[in-house]
Formats: sequence, structure tokens, C-alpha cells
Amino acid sequence: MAAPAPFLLKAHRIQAHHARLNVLTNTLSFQSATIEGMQIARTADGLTMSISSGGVVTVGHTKIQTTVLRNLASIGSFRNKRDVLLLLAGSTLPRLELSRVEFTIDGYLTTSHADIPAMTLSMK
Amino acid sequence: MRFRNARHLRNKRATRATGLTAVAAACAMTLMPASVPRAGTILPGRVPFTLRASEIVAQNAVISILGESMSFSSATIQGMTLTYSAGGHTYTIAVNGTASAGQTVIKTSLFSTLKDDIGSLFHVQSPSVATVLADALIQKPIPTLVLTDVNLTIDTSMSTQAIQMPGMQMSTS
Repeated sequence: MAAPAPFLLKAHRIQAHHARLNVLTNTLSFQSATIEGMQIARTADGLTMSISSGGVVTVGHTKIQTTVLRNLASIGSFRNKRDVLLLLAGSTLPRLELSRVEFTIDGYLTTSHADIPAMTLSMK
Repeated sequence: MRFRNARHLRNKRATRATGLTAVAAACAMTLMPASVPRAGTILPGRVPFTLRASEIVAQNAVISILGESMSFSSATIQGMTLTYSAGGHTYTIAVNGTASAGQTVIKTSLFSTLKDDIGSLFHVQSPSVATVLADALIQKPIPTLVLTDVNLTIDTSMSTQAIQMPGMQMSTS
């Protein structure tokens, strides 16, 4: 069971390649992706720690594990709504495009590498 | 003439009195310095995150005690983890490999407390601790700064032109 201490991944746009969803393990994975307008935030005790990038983030093979993946369809991030059905059916999408992404991650995010230009890590 | 001399004398006394007042004030400040937080003390109201690394090799590093900052033009960071604990949970970014950072600025109030103990934050391998402290006081760039077993508490911000993190993992626990 994932820890009940989520962090929020926001992005203007995510373009992922070879994306796949595993509903049994609540895992979304992709071979590579570019992320525009990325911000990762964690709020606790009235304070927010955030990591943001002022450029296009590039990540390699990535896995995101969270219990809220099953709610993806409700957030309306999928540029092509048919992709939701394909992912839920277990298909691997050669190209997945998400916009105005707000991803609550209560598990983990791992990636083979991440290149983050203009990164700022701050407390507010 | 006598009147002018009297006025001159009065001005001189006034100037001297003003000077003595200033000296007295300076003495008072010297005798009663503002309380300085102990090295490694976080200022109230700040919830810090921690940068840990087994080794950081930074180029053109500038530590500014007055500016409460450390900057470098580039660095390689081995065994890097960033942790943030709040609300009973810990958020961690771990890097499995050597991270490479471009121009970076780290701001933390801790640097203001380091006048007597720069080694309280990290182990300076090269140059000597004394050299780093001396350079920190005058903000002199250090061509290559090597730190090991880094455990740096950052209570303000860290910004970098670019950072590459191989094998990055974000998690909460």
C-alpha cells in the first residue's frame, strides 16, 4: 500500500513515448518523455517545498506508481481521450500526449535519468 | 575676535562630544553584540530540506557568509539525496549515479552562522578549511572545492541552470 503522503506533479505538457499503464500495480511507465512547465510540490504543515523547471525536462525510462492512477480519466489531461481506453485495456501507446497535468503521486517516481534545465528548489 | 574664538571653542566641544558619543555607542555595540545563532542552527520559521552527498566537486565556488549563499559554476555530485521532512513524512529525491549541475546558487541562513565553524556543514577536502573560511569572508572564488560526506541543510532555495540526474527516484515515506 502506498504511503498517504502525496506529492504533486504539475506540467503544462507531457509527451511520452511507449507509455503503458498497469492497473494492477497502479503503475504508469514510459520509455522516455519530455515535460514542459514541470513543477513538483509537496505541502505539509502549511509550507510547500517545490521543484520547478524553466525549460523542457527530459526523462528516460520512467515509472510512476500511485494509487490515484485509476482516476486519470477524470482529470482531462489526455489530449486524445481514446488513449485512456487503450491504456486501461493494457495497450502500449507509441506516443501519449497529456496537457495541463496534475498528478498526485503517493507512491514513487523513478527514472533512468532526468535532465532538468533551470531547476529551482525552494521553500514557501 | 574673542566672540569668534568662543564660538570656535563651542563648536569644537560639540564635535568632540559627538565623537565621544559615537565612540561610546561603538563600544556599547562591541561590548554587547547581537546574539548570533550557533553554527548549524536553523532560524525560526524555516522548514529546511537537506542535501546529502558522498562527494561534491565544485568549480569556481564562492561561499558568501554575508549573502548567506554558496554558488559554483558547475559541479559533480556523487551519492546525492535531497530530503524534506514535514507532517510526519519524508519526501526524498535520490540519484543513483553522479549528478552534474551547471551554474548553481544555494541559499541558506546557515552560512551566516559559519564564521567560526565552516566544517560544521561538510568535510572540506580541498583546499583547507582555513582557506575556505578565509575565502568565504571575502567571497573569493575557489577554483576547485572538494567536499565529502556533505550534509547541508538548506532553508531557503537552491537553483541551478541545469542538472542531470541519472537513476533519479522520488518517493515519500
